[in-house]
Amino acid sequence: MIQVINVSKSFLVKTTSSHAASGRIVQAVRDVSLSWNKGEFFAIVGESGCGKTTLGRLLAGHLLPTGGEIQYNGVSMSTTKRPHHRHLARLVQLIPQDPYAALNPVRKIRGLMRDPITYHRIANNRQADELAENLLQMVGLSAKDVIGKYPHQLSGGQRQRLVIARALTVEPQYLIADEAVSMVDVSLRIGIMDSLKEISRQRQLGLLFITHDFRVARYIAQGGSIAVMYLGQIVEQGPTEEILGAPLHPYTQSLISAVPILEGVEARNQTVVPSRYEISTQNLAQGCSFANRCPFADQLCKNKAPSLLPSTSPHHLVACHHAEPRELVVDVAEPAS
Amino acid sequence: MRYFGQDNLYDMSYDQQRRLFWEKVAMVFQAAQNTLNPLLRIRQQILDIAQDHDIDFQQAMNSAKQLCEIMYLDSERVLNAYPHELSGGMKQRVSIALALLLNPSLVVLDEPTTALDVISQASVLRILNDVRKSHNLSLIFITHDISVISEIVDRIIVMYAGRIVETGPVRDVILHPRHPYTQGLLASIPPLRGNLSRTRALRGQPADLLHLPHGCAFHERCPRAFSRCRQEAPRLLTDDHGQTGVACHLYASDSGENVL
Ligand SMILES: Nc1ncnc2c1ncn2[C@@H]1O[C@H](COP(=O)(O)OP(=O)(O)O)[C@@H](O)[C@H]1O
Ligand code: SF4
Ligand SMILES: [Mg+2]
Repeated sequence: MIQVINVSKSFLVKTTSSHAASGRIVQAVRDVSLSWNKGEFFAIVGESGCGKTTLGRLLAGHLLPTGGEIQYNGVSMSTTKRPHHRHLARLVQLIPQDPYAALNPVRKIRGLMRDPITYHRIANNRQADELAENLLQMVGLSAKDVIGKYPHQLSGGQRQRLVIARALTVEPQYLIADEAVSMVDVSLRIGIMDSLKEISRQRQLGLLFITHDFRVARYIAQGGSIAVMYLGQIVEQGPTEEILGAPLHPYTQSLISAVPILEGVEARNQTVVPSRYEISTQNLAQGCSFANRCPFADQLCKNKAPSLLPSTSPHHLVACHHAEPRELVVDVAEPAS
Repeated sequence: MRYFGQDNLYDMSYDQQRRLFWEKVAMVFQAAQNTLNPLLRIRQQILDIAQDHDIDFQQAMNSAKQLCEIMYLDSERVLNAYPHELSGGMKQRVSIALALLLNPSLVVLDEPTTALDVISQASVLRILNDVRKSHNLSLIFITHDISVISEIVDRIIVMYAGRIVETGPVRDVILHPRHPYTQGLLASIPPLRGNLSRTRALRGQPADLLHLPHGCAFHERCPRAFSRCRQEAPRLLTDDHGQTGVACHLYASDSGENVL
């Protein structure tokens, strides 16, 4: 099990003002707690800049938290006895947001697949090639077609499959996929998600899928859970069907109601879209960080920050003073024949 | 190619073409935020367009302010800003406002919301829909995601490998897709609510335009392909008014006659 306990991550961003040493602290992740089990499918949803990638990199040990701790099967990441990074890499693998940037452009696929296998001493060169070919095949790539190519010779969808295969070389127990289908055509997304789900199910992997798209989150975390992030915090978390069927936080409600629907096939959304469209990173001093966009904000919201607490069910957590189910669907269209 | 009954575009002089575009036909590009000049304040970019097309500066600024209002942009702030001071959603709305500045009749939008978050996307779509009605505009919306446009367009053209494979009123196409490619595209959009079991992947890779298969370009990925599909490319068969059509052998009789 991986436990995230009150984890925060701040970055110092240098500003280009006249004061030489001036900088601004960006709190990318603020006081996040969650636990994630082997075999569990988890989706993290939120708009860009809300800290999803930072959380993923913290979980994979690519970043160290500035507050709180992460425990891997009981071993803490923030103490001196933290797991050796080779161990950690074999436990948790991050499939990065931009597959192209993550692949050395002058290495052929054979080498790219072989490197992690030999680095982690999982197999010798000959076995490594066999393992690599099996993994490529498993993610839906024709090993003999791609093994001699360079990353730029693959299509976007193929590259995405390649980085998945590469993450699997070290036989991790947990997989984090950061926006794994966002850069891929709609027509290819389901295929990639099906491969990821199938492989994770077979190997009993924990799968954490980062996305800004509720359709994708629902599809991948079917039977699992969804956490919604806003400005570095989890504002709502619970079983996937509860989050989609009866969201309680106004932000979750606006995200879901903003998803364009298939006219005539899907029920139309009533819009609970907040009055302001742009995320403001200022205004974190006190109160609820969603208050300046929230249509239900009152004085209490402006004075006191809500905590993430159990609501309608023990596993459904929400951070809002006025959490309640709200009607999102206007009319239910006749089902497609 | 003829616009509004004018001369063939390819016979026009450069100056005529330049006037046609922006003044009659405007284009909003994919990741349009990157088409704004990063070195100039938005105000200056508006003045440049006005100068290029011999429009009075004051008049251009007035329409710009009006457009900002329609786009829910704070004109004071936005007009004086450099592009990097604006968020992605704001920049996208600014590029749409610039496209509308000269009051065109037709706006072509290439994936205008792909780079945006869902809430900005919803606001841009709603604004486009409002402007379309209030300005009596025609919009051509280019996208790979049918779910994004079904609420705002009237008609849809589905293309595969450089050809039109299906066309019709958007509701008809979504409720009763006929081409197996359209059916596959729709089946690969996971529903937000209800049954997920009908969601399935479209198999294979997108067509490689350099190595198109013989016959129907889609046949290698098509679950319903039969022998004729491997031999002969289907023609687009349209109904009497040319409003709906499909290019697929499943809908053509042996003689190639229209059976719609
Ligand atoms: N290495 C970094 N240095 C400075 N700021 C960063 C860094 N990484 C992320 N940030 C900032 O932290 C916030 C969250 O970023 P990120 O985790 O990438 O969000 P998301 O993945 O949800 O879009 C953003 O404001 C971003 O600019
Ligand atoms: S706490 Fe208040 S401002 Fe924050 S989301 Fe709830 S109602 Fe809105
Ligand atoms: Mg990210």
